[in-house]
Amino acid sequence: MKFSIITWDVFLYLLKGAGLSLLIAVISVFFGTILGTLGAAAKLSKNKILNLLANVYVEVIRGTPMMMQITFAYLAMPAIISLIFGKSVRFNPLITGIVAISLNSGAYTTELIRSGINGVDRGQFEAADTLGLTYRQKMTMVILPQAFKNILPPLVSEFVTLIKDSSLLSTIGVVELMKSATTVGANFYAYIPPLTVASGIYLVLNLIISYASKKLEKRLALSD
Amino acid sequence: MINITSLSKTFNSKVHAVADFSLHINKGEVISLIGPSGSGKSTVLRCIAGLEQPDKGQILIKGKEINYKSPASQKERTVMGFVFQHFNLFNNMTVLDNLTLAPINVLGKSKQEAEELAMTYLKRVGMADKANEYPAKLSGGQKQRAAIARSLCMQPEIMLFDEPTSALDPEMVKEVLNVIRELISEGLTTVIVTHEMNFAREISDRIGFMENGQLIECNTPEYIFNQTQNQRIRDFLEKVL
Ligand SMILES: Nc1ncnc2c1ncn2[C@@H]1O[C@H](COP(=O)(O)OP(=O)(O)OP(=O)(O)O)[C@@H](O)[C@H]1O
Ligand SMILES: [Mg+2]
Repeated sequence: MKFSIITWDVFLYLLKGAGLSLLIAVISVFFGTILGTLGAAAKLSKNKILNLLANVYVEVIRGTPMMMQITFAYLAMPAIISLIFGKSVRFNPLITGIVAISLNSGAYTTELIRSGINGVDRGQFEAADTLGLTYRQKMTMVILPQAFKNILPPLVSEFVTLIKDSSLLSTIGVVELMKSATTVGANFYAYIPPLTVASGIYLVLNLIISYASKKLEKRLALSD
Repeated sequence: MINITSLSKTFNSKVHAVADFSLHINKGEVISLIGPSGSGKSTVLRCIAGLEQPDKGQILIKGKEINYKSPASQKERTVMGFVFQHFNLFNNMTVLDNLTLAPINVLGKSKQEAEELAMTYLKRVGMADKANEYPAKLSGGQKQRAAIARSLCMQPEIMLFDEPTSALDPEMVKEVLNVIRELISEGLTTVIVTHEMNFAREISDRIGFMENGQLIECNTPEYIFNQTQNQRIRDFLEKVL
């Protein structure tokens, strides 16, 4: 096994791919959290139309493969647009990929946030009501700070999942860590070294994140 | 002060939690609601406080019906303080913040004013030294005393207690009952759901006995404990005393 092909330059190339993977995950988890907050608010609202919209969104995303969503966004959406507007367009793979992953993450995060809020004891809601707090005050001052503790751990695993799932963007030509590794492999006709090193990078990244989140959870648990 | 007329509440269109309940409570009066488990005592109290929507009937607080759907109700409902069996202090903030949150955000008091008021009430319930603790660090009795102080900070005219000592270890019951006893002596209109029969007997102007969602009898402690001819009340009291 020619591990000697992993020179410093090749390693830096892989690291650059890892950087892009991380960036995709960070941006997607950011927009996913915003979408998830909106989705959870829609699901918990008394408005039937908002309920329905949020339910359809969550079910469609969770009921189809992420690979399909990414491919759909990259190949089918431009086709749909040219059908409607009669103009042919091409999407930027990186941006399209991030949009698709954000939408995907938003659906899962909707459920995370919804169950995090539902996990807060009913009595906390009722106490806030009897004290005359408005819905908004109740949510921002009492419920969400407590829900945040329930939400943080699964949100971190969502982030870890996104780092791994960002590898799917290799199929639409985004040179993230996965694509970097197969490119190196193809150039040197040797797949074992780059794929092994890339796997190691994924693993180390995720271990670091899990460790950091455990520390943070411990600190948040101090007021319990 | 509180006029309840023909109150009915059904859960899941099956369980008749409260059925045709009427009761007029005068200003300054102390009413205890007693009765077997599931008889609807909590539901009555929760309807008064707006935590449940009645199916039928009318509840007037100081002559007015509170419409809990309107934003104006947020402030109106604070004429009533509610003390829960499980305290329900806000877990994410200190005792002091628990006490000042609503006075600042609902009544519009300044932070300083709210904190002074909070400290006054914390002293009264013997909790001044715990102002900066989080609820998780307190015993059950301390939590309940802090929760009572939190209600008092809204300067309510009516206090509603739903089994305030039922979740407490026996040695802590007394400290909480003492606090309630002291409050009552100041003339707050009070409705208290309790299984502490001796306490109810001591503090109440009237005791209401509930069964199957109905108010069977409501009369002076002397009458309920010694004179009633109602066999179910006699049986119940015999069992619990
Ligand atoms: N949220 C609810 N959903 C369904 N049923 C309920 C609900 N709350 C109360 N009930 C039912 O309504 C009836 C009256 O309940 P309630 O809690 O008012 O009784 P209680 O007299 O306070 O009893 P306890 O002494 O056990 O507290 C019971 O049969 C109870 O199971
Ligand atoms: Mg009850």
